[in-house]
Amino acid sequence: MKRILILAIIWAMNKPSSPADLSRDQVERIAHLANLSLTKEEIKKFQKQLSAVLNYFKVLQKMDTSGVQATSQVTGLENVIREDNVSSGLSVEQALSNSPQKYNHFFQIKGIFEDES
Amino acid sequence: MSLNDLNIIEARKGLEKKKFSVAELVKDCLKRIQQTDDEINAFLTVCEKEAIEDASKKDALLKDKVNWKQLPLLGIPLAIKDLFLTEGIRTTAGSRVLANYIPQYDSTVVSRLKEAGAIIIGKTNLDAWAHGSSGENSDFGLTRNPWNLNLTPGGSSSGSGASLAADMCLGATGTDTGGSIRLPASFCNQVGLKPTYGRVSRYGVIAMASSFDCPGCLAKTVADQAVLLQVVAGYDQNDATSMKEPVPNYSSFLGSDLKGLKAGIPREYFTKGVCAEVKTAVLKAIEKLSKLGVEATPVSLPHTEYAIACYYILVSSEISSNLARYDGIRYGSGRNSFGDEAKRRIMLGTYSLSTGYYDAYYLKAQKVRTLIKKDFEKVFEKVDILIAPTSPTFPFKLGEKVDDPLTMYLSDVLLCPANIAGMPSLSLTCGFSQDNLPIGMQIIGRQFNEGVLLQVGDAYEKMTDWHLRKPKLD
Repeated sequence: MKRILILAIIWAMNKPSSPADLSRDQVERIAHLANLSLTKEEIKKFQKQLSAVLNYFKVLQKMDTSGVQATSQVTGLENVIREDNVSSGLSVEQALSNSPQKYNHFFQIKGIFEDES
Repeated sequence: MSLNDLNIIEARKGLEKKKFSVAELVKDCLKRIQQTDDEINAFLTVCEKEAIEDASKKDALLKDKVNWKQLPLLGIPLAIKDLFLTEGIRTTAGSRVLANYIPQYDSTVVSRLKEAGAIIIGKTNLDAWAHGSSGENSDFGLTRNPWNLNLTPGGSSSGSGASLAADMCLGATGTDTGGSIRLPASFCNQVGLKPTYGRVSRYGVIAMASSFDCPGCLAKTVADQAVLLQVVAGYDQNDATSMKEPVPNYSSFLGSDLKGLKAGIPREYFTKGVCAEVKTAVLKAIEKLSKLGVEATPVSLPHTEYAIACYYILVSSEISSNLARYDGIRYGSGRNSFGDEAKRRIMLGTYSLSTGYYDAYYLKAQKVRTLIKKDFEKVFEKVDILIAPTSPTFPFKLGEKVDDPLTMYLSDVLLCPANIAGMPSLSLTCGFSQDNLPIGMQIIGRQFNEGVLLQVGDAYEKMTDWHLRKPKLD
């Protein structure tokens, strides 16, 4: 993927910037949706790289897909369910074993209703 | 020759005939790791103590008569790609995010291998989150190709390919989402099988793209591959995408007559960007197979040129969803520990799925996926298998910036269509370059026809000795 991005960047740098290039605002919005905090330098870097790849993706727009069904599952399975039988799972200790912050038998997380600090 | 140079079937015979013990076999693997892994960096975790303890347990079992049908991998040291959860053994996905993560349960593949008697020798290096084709995206340093330490072993199952090529183990697990078993197998002179999607359980395998991920194995020979597949294949109720399709006896396919088998040669896989030496080697292999009665015929998969865009839109979308769980609450060190490649893919996916872009990107790519799948269904009405190169080029230099867009495009386009359509594909060596680098060919088949792929691969292997070559390790 890294190689594809490097070539996409080289390819993109040789063409005039198209209106489809991502703006800084768009990159910040995407990062916010993805719960990623990016530095100013990262936003700049990713702006160029993502724009190049997204422009490459446009090759699919040329294709006629009218009347074509979307595929989300390649082996035809649908609605796979199981019997509602109780079985054992992880113990509380096991479930908490990798958590950095625990309190009694709970995962400890940041407050939702408090001020973000 | 030391015991770690053996393949699985040879090692089994030796153990059965009491020519050596499991302890000696494990010791030789550990010795090879100690001697060469500082340079190669195939392993992230070596389970020395556990493997030695396990070896003495297996040796105790071998004192009595062993039911090899029940324990087909008894005493066999295997390397596990660090994307497979192993209970009590650190599992990192090659990422700093999980640098200290100790799983509370085994993945199904690992439990099945353990139930079959295998010994876990260690966890292998990979591109972080399986994002990559060269091993260079690992947060724990890149892995080098034992055939030439300046070259990539291929990825993302880089450590699995390299460790097996260097005989640090007798088999290894991998995952193939867009070629990540087949490419290291091709670059390291191994036999790599991407099973049909749903053939091998994904339970306990850290998810990359849930509708593409195919766990599988790398092996030294096709016969070994059949043994490993037999153990890991089959329905798992813990994986809702696992198929109830019956698991045949894969080894029984080996040695059967190939007369009348129709092989399609897809023209889109032999275009300009494929290096001449690679083309020649694959075509020579097809010629050899014709002598056994295989009928080669040119075919076309017309939507191949759209495979890359289709693949990366869908895969990055699924990645953005699967990596959302790494919030540092239940496990992991939080999202700031993601490397650049992971962040890029997460953001590409988030964009493709977001309001206003979903139709033009994600939905469009899903429809293109249908067209690519239909290409395969159409050709398989006329032929039984497809034969093509695994990679258009030889293993490339670590750190190299490839300036040829055509080669770059093709390096993934030969691999990802099989993942897009969910088809199985077997990669094995069909020649060596002038610089003594392995050249891989892939045999693609209908869904759940792994037996035929193994049959053809084994027949070819019996006519050649590429698989017997070993890299020179200092």
